[in-house]
Amino acid sequence: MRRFANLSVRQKIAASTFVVIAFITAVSWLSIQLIVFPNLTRQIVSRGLTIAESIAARAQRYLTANDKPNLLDVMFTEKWMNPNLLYIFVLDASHRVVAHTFLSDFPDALIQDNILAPGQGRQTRLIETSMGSVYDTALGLYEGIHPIATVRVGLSKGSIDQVIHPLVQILLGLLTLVITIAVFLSTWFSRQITDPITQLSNLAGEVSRGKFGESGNLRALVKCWKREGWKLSACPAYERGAPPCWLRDDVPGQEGGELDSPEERPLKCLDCQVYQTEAGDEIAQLGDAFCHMLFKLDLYQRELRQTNEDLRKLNRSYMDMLSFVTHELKTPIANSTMSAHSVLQRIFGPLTPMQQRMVGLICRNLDQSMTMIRNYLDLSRIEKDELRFTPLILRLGSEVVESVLAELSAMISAHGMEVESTVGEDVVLEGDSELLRVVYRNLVGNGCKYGRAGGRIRLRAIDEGDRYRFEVWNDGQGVAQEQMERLFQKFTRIAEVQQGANKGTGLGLFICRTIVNRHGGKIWAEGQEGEWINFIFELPKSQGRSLVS
Amino acid sequence: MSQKRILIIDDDPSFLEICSAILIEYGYAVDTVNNTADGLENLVSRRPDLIILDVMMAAMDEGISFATSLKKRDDTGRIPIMIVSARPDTEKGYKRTIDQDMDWLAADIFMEKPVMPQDLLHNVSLLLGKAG
Repeated sequence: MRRFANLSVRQKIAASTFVVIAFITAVSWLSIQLIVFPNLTRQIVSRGLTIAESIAARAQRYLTANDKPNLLDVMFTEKWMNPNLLYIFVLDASHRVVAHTFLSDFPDALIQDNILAPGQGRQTRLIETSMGSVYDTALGLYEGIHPIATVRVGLSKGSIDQVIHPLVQILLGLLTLVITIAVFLSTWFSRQITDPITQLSNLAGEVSRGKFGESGNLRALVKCWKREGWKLSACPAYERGAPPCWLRDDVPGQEGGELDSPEERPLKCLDCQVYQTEAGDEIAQLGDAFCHMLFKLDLYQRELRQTNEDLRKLNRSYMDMLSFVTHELKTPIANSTMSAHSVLQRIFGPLTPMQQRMVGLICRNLDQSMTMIRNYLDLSRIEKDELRFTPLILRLGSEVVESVLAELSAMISAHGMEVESTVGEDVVLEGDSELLRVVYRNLVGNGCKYGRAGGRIRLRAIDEGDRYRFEVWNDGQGVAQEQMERLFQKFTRIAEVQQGANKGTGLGLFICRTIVNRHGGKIWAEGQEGEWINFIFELPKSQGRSLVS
Repeated sequence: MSQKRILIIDDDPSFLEICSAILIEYGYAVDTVNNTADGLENLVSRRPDLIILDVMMAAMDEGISFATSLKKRDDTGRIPIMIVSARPDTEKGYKRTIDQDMDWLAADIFMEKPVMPQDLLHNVSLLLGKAG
C-alpha cells in the first residue's frame, strides 16, 4: 500500500485502470466458462433429445406396424439435416439393433456405452468412440411399464467445439481490443490530469525558488500555460526569457501589471498574439486560479516594493532633516559651551559661589546636549549608510584612548572617577581612529554617567593573536543580565540604569556596536547587577591588509 | 616681548566674539574676519603670528584650501595655523582623516568645536611658542 502511495499520479491511474481491466477480464472469462459454454453444450445436447423424441414415435410405429422404411427415412433425414449428428439407431427390448444410420457395419461396442437402467426414461452421456467424443442420448420407449425399445442419438462433441472455438476467438479478440482501447484511454486521461498538474507544480517551484518576477520568465510561463495548456516549451517568449508580453508598452490597451480581471480584458501577447482565459475543466480552473494568484502576488510584490521605496525615501528625508537640525544646533551649542566654560574658568573675572554653581549647571547641560548632538549625527550617518570607515594603522593607546581621556577629563573629575588604563603603546591595529574615539568616548562617558560616583573605570587591552579584546569596566549599579543585549539596541534606555543619572539618547551603545561591527569585531556586555559592568569588544588586528607597524 | 597678534577667520560671528574675548583677556591682539578674502588682506597688512581658521565657510573646504595656499607661499608659509571646525573630521565632506589632513597641511593643530577655553589657550601658546 505504501508502495502504491509513493507512485506518481500517472502511475496510479495506469495501475488502477490495469487492475480494473484485469478484474473485468477474469470475471468475463469465468462467466463464459461457467455459464455460456455449459449452456451452449446443454442446448446442443437437448437437440439430440429432441431428435430422439421425433424418432421415437416412428420407432414405436415400426415396432407395432413394422413400418421400417418410414423409420429409416426419418432417421436419415434427421442425420442429413444435422451435420453434427453422427448416428441414430434403435434397439429393441433385448438390445438388438433394429435400425441404424451407419452406412458401414454397425459398431456393436456402441450398444454397451449408454444402457438405460430399468424404468429409466432418458440419459445423455459423453462417450469415447472410434468416431471421437460423442454426446450419446438414449431415450427409452415403454408400453406400460415394459420397455420395448431404445432410441440412441449420437452428437459429435468435436462439432460442438467447432461452434464454441470461433466464439471464444471472437470473445478474446473483443477483449483484447477493449483492453487496448482502455489502456490508451487511461494513458490519455492520466496525461490530461498529470501534465497540467506537473506544469503547475513546476510553476510553483519557480515561484518558491524566488524566480518570481525575474525578467518576466514566469509570466511568460504562466501565459504559455494558459495558451498552450501544458506545452510550455512551445512558447517562444518563455524560451527567450522575454519580458512579460502584456507589460510591454507597445501592447495596446495594456498597462503595467493591472491584471485584476483578465476575463474582462483579454490580454494579448506579442509573441502568441492571443491570450484568453478559458476556464474549462477543474484542472483548467485550478490553473486559472493559480495564474491569477501569481498575477496578484506579482502586483502585491510590486506594490510592496514601491511602498518600501517610498518608505526608504521618507526615512532618508527624515534622516536628512535630523542631520540638518542637529548640525544646525551644534554651532550655537558649541558657542554657548565655549562661552559658558570660559565664564566657569573665571577667564573674565571671579564668580560668587552661586554664580559658579549655576554656570557649572549650564556647562553640564550643554555638554550633555553636545553628546546628544554627536550621537544623533552619528545615527543619521549610520542610517544613511554614510559612516565613513577609513582604517589606518594606529596606536590605540596614544591616538584613541589618551585623547578621549583628555577630552573627557572634566567629566571624569566632575564625577570623581578614577580611570586606570593599561592600553599601552604596543597595542597597534588597523582601524578608524575617529570612529574608535567615538566608541571610547561613549563607553567611558557611560562609565562616568552610570558608574558609582567616586568609583573606578578600568580600561584594558588583551592580545588574543589575530585580534585584540578591549574592556571598559566600571563598578556601579550595572544592568540585569537579561537586559544586556537590549543595551545595544537603538533608543534603548534601561530604566534601572537611568535612575538618578543623566538621561542619554539611547544611541551611544548602538553607535558603538555599529562601529565595532564595521571593523569586523563584536561588542557585548558582562556584569553583576548592583556591582559592576564590563563592556567588551573585540577588534581584528588587520582589516585584510598586511599590518606594518 | 611684543604682543602676539592672532587672526581669526570664521563666518560665525558668535565664535569670533567669544574667541577674541578670551584671547584678548589673555593679552593677545586679535583681528577677526568672516571670510578668507578679507583674511588674506589682513595677513598682508597686519602680519599676524597665528591664524585660527574655520574649515567650512562659503565653500565646503574653504578653510583647508586657504590653509594649503598659505602654506605654499613664502611670506605666509611659516605662520602657524589652527584649524577649528564644527564638524568632526568624519563629516568634513571629503575623504581624508584628520591625521592625513595634518600631514598634508604640515601643520599645526586641528580642534573640534566646541573648543574648551583652556585647550584653546594651551594650543595657542604652544603654536606661538613653536613659531617664536
